Amino acid sequence: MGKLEEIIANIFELDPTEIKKEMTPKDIETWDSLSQLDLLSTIEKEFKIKLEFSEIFTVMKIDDIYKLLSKKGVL
Amino acid sequence: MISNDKVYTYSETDKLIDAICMKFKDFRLLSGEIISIILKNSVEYVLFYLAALRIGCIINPYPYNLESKDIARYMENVNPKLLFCNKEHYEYMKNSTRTRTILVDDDFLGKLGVANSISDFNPEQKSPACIYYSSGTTGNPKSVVFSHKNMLSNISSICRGFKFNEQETHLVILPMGHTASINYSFLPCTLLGGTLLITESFWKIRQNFWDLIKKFNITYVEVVPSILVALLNTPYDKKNYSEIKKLKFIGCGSAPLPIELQNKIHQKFGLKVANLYGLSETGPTHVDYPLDEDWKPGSIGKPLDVNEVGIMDENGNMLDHDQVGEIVVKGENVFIGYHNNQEIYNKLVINQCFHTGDLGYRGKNGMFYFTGRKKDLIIKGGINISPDEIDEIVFKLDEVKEATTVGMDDEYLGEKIFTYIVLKDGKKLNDEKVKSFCKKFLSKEKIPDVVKFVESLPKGPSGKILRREMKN
Repeated sequence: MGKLEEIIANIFELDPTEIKKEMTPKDIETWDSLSQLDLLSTIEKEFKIKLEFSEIFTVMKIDDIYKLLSKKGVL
Repeated sequence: MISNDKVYTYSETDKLIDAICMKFKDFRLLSGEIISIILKNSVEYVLFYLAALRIGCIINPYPYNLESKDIARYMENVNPKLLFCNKEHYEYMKNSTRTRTILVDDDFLGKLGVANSISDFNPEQKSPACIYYSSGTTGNPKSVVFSHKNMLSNISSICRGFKFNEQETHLVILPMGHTASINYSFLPCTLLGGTLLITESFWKIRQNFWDLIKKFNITYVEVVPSILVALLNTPYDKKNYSEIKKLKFIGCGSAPLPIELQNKIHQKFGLKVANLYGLSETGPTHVDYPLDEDWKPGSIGKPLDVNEVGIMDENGNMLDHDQVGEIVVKGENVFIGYHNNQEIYNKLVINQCFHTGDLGYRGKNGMFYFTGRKKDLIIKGGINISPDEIDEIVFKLDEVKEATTVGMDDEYLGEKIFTYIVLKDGKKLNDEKVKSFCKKFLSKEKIPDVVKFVESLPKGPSGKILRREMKN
């Protein structure tokens, strides 16, 4: 399990094996606005990156997190 | 009602309410007894609410997203006869409260029997209809009691003020355990014969928000400022958006609405945003109707036609226009008490006038303007949080000598929670430990976002911590 999956599993209280890239807030009970903020600020801290304010809202499914980190050059 | 693509006519809804009333009768509930619910936004929420009123009980809803342990503390004060909740809260509540707890699972409605028609209980207008959760502390829980008269006068006044009619189709995205969607959508639509489209939350439908508005011909949606910020930043299909015809305006409440945000939404979507003002203790008190020709953003509008609103100075004198003072409200909609807490009620309601703890002024044109808060309240993402409730928990940590919590401005959430701590001599503590300790007692939205350790806190002559100075 990678660092990102560990963070996602931790924040959304999931088993890491359950995480799928196509998952959206509809599929994850604990995924709400506050947990998304929590997730992204943890990612900032753990990956030592700075996300722009507008980037918070581009994440609409799990795959978007991978894309965002690729864009930042840390994945 | 429409929920999860299923449509419930008024006739079907009426029969389901009867069936739930029969269920209540199995528990030998008497009129005047309290029924608590912790339910997700759902058809079940609406049915339980109306069924409780039909048999003359008092409905006591809690926000679903609160932690069970947090709700249990409030329920200690309310002491309901029965609690109905979804599975996420069931185990904890069953084992931690003295209230009989009943599970509402996904098939709850399917398992209800066919019921005979139950006639509506005819309540005394001044008797309690509902008890709403409000921010408070363990020592001073604030559960707000509204009478039938309070509710009827408020909801009918909102319908008149916002010119709601039987054509209304409202989208519900805010948590129904809070009062916003109840007062502006659920009860007005029920009173007028309109339609409710119930969704679990904004975050679950964010991607399809405008599609839903278009598909269901939504006429009104109630939001909080954070949702407007999210809408401005969430990609959307412009072509789809251009086909939206029925949405008249958006209502935004539960937290101060910056005029810049009102303007940005208007510029981007061509939609006007009503700035909704009200209190847990009064429900909405003003009408900011953006379809009026002379409407301008920035104010909270004019008082509802069932309440008088004044601006009062520190000595209890009413102020003239353009002078800032405390907003005070008097009228049929003002609550009848805090459950089991007469002391706070007596402090805040003087000569039938409710002292809101908010500051504002009345313009020459009769419009009111909110300028700030006199009371120490944090509003994070539209949720009211008492800083005392957080301090109360932080003080339980052995290492803490002094602490104070304040709300600091935040672009998205409106305010974030900052807790400042002075440690006892020789003691060590870090922010993660404070946050994880708070998690044991508080719901996640109440956990401090930032914990700072300081040498001292500003104090007044009596030694009282001057919390407001920490905001600067």
